[in-house]
Amino acid sequence: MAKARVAQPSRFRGLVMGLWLAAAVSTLVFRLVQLQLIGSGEFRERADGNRLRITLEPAPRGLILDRHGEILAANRQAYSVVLYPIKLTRAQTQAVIDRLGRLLALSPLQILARWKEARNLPVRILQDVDPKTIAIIAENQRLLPGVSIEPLTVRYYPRGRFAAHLLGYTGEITNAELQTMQDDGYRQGDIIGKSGLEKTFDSILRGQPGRLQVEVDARGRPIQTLAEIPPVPGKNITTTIDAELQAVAEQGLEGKVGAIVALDPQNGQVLTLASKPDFNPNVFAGRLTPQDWKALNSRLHPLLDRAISATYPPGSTFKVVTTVAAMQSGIVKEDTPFDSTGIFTLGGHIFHDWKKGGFGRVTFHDALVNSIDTVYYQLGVELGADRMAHYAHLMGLGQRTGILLDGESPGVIPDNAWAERHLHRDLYPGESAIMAIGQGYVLATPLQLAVMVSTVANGGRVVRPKLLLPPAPQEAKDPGIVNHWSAATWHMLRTAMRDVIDRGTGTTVHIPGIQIAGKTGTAQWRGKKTNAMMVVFSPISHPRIAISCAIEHGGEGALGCGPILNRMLRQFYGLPLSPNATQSAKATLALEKPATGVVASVNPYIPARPGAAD
Amino acid sequence: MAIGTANPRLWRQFDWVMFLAAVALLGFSLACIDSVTHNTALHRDFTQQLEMVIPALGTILLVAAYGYEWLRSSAKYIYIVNIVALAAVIVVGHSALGAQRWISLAGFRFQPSEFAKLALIVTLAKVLSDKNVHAPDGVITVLATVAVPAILIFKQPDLGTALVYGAIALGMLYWAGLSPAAIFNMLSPVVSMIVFALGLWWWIAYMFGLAVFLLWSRRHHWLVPISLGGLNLLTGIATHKVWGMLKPYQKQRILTFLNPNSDPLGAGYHVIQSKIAIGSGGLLGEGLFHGTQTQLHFIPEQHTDFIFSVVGEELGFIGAIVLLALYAILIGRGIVIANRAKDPFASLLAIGVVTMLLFHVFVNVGMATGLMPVVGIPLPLMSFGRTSLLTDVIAIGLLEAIAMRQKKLMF
Repeated sequence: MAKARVAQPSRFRGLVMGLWLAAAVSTLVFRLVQLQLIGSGEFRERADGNRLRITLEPAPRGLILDRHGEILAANRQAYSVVLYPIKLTRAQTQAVIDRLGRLLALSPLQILARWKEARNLPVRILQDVDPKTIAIIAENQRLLPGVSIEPLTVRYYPRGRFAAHLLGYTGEITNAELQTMQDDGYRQGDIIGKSGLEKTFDSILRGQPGRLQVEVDARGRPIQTLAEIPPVPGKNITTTIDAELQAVAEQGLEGKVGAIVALDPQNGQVLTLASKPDFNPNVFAGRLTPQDWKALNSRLHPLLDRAISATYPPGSTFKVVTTVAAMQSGIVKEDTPFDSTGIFTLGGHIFHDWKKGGFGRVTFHDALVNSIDTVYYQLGVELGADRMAHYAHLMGLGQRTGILLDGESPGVIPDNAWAERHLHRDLYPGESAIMAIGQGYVLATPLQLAVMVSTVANGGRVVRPKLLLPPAPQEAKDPGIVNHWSAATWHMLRTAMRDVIDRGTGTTVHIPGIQIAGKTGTAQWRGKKTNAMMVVFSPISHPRIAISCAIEHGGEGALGCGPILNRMLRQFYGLPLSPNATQSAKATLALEKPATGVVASVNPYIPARPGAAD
Repeated sequence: MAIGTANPRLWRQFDWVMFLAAVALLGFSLACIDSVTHNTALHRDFTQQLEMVIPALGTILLVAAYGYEWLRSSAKYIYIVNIVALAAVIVVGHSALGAQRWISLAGFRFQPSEFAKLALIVTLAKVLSDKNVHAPDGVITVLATVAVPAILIFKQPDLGTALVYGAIALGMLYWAGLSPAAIFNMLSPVVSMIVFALGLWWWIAYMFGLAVFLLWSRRHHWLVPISLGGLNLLTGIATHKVWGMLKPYQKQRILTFLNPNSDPLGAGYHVIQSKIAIGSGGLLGEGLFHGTQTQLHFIPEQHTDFIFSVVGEELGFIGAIVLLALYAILIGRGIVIANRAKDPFASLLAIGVVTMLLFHVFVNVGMATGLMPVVGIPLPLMSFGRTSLLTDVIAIGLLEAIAMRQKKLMF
């Protein structure tokens, strides 16, 4: 029966097969209509999304120049390894990441984290890769789909460690930074200033990134450029820094821990802002080696800008403030006589002078020149902390100077209100006594001391330190504090501070034929060895430079700071630098010593940490 | 057994329309393979395909000339050789993508499962034309004939070919005169499995419906409904076991088919990229060698299983319609040939070939356009691959052979 039915193939079954064929073909045609005629636009877009990639072309960063046009921060060409988030299976992705990890000596987890972070954007795995690694990656391109080598301009600091804290360094924007800066047009992968001038003036230096529309293949490799909006290069900035003066200061501080700040006292322009130990900002351009990390995180905190962030007891340099307070308060005149016996007694406590036995009968003028502590103990008690603090504030201490750098400390100028807040009591008279010689709770940054001495130098104006030429709008305005002190006070300050350099405690700075005024300081701080402190300005008639110096455990002010300031002033006046000057000076000098023992017993140790006062 | 060339009169019935459609498809194939592989290391595949054109067309003519009678007499041996070859794949085969499909013979690598399709067609044609498919022994012989190679292929495992097997068997059983109800009865264990996978309650409803259907069609011996019901019960319950037998990539493909966007970078990637390519082609296409998806290599395996996406993207809707029209001509002529065949064996042979080609085209294009799951089924005459090309030209040669020896037309 079956045979019969097959033997006579019915037209009906042929028709059914034909219908199956028609049904299959029309299903497919219907589907093609759906995809190609109706959905065509959408799919065209998705195809473009596959092949077109917008990449940002970083703008060359603006240069940083010193006041004479010397380049302090430039750019150089480098190569980075970029991973494109192309469509790969999980296994392929893992293989690429493993290979890349081996080549770049990164852990696969690190790479994966970077990749996930970027979501669907190309991510820079490593910047400033050495040529050998570049060559290996180029050879293995087939095994590394999505991996691309791209040119990159890297920040370059031609003088290496020079002015590292001031210039700062750059790096890729972090996710946390991105959160707060997104509104200002910052994007994932941007290179931004992380500290110093690089950070403060990032918006000027960075420029506008260009856009590049590139056609890429399935492996994410660029095939051709279709359109380009060129980047707008960042603008250069000219700083107030005098590179040669800065260099002399850094040379002097080499191997020491401390800071030197030089200002133009007339306008507040920062000529030098040196801090040691320092770091080489170039290391941040590439990958930090473990040694780099170790160096950057050393016990001496090389990343800390001591010029603006570290606070030190100003020691005898604070006597300038006490002098102003005492004379303006009318409790003393320049020729007021004092008996210098080497000791000062207060309520059973004995306060020692730095010079055993004292100086005999002296005038107030001599007391400043020879930095006689017992005289100032007495004035401190008579003045009280509040009055000294009042004048200290009028000379720029105890508050931030407003320099446009991150991390500035306000320092500490103790008065009774401060003591109420921090000690929950009034200050004892003994504490006023040692405040008068710049010890105890008093803390100031080297920058604040430079502003303080500038105030003396320029006739009473508190200047705001300025970093740009011409000044940036945010730094142009001074705080508006102008002191109108009596002629007698001015006379005392100018003559006594000149005598400090000419024949007093600061003769290490003396340069024949140059008018220099200053005050030394030798401050008790942590540890046994004292901090060397010193402030100077010059010339006396119309000062053009004011310098402060602080060297941790640098010994006496005249010895630790004096020779460096001497060399800086020689540099400033274009005189030959004479390193032998110190030797001769040391031999002939009666050196100021700190009022040891007593000071330490009366004063609790106050750590120098930023923000100790408010 | 006469060689056709000895009898020039035979060639008058040669189906030139079908032959030219095949030639045109080979032309399409060359253009698309060239477009995908030019400027890549795979361009040797184009050269290989180009070198295959003359032998392929020669094979059509040779098979057409040689006729099909010899197949009738040697069907038994073809069946045995086929089983041995399939078993050999499992024992000594080369594997690709988690499956063993290839064996090397005299330096040639080929996939026996491709030829196995032809072997199945020949053996089924022989069995169906000899046995009474309405008698139980006929049914059992047919089922046994299909089952042995099907199990071997499923074991490789090659899901695509196993499905082609099922389709061929269905088409030929229908052609042999089996009623749709009888075909459903034979198929019901598999249906039971699929319904079970959908959910238990669906399956219970299905089993209930099946029971009603079997009771209603009481034409059979009482053993038939009982054994069918029992078989459905067994396969339904065994669903999980069969699912467990699938390779992970096969499970993934089925799951991905249900929702391609669930894993856009993994298993769904092929389908998404292929759809983008075809869709972006629009009405006229982007021009050969100018499709961005194709030229930038966004679609893996594009010159083999996904070759239709090249046509879709670069030649557009028009090109795709022309391609489908060529297949419609090829398959339509095949149906006509099956209808006019001289005897049941030839007719069944023709319909087997027609079913195979139709299923390949529908599943492959359906896969490229996202209608079907990704199963490795080549597009006849288009996809790169020597074994499948050879299978296809032999199949078309067989159709020609049948056409040349068809019943005398009524003049």
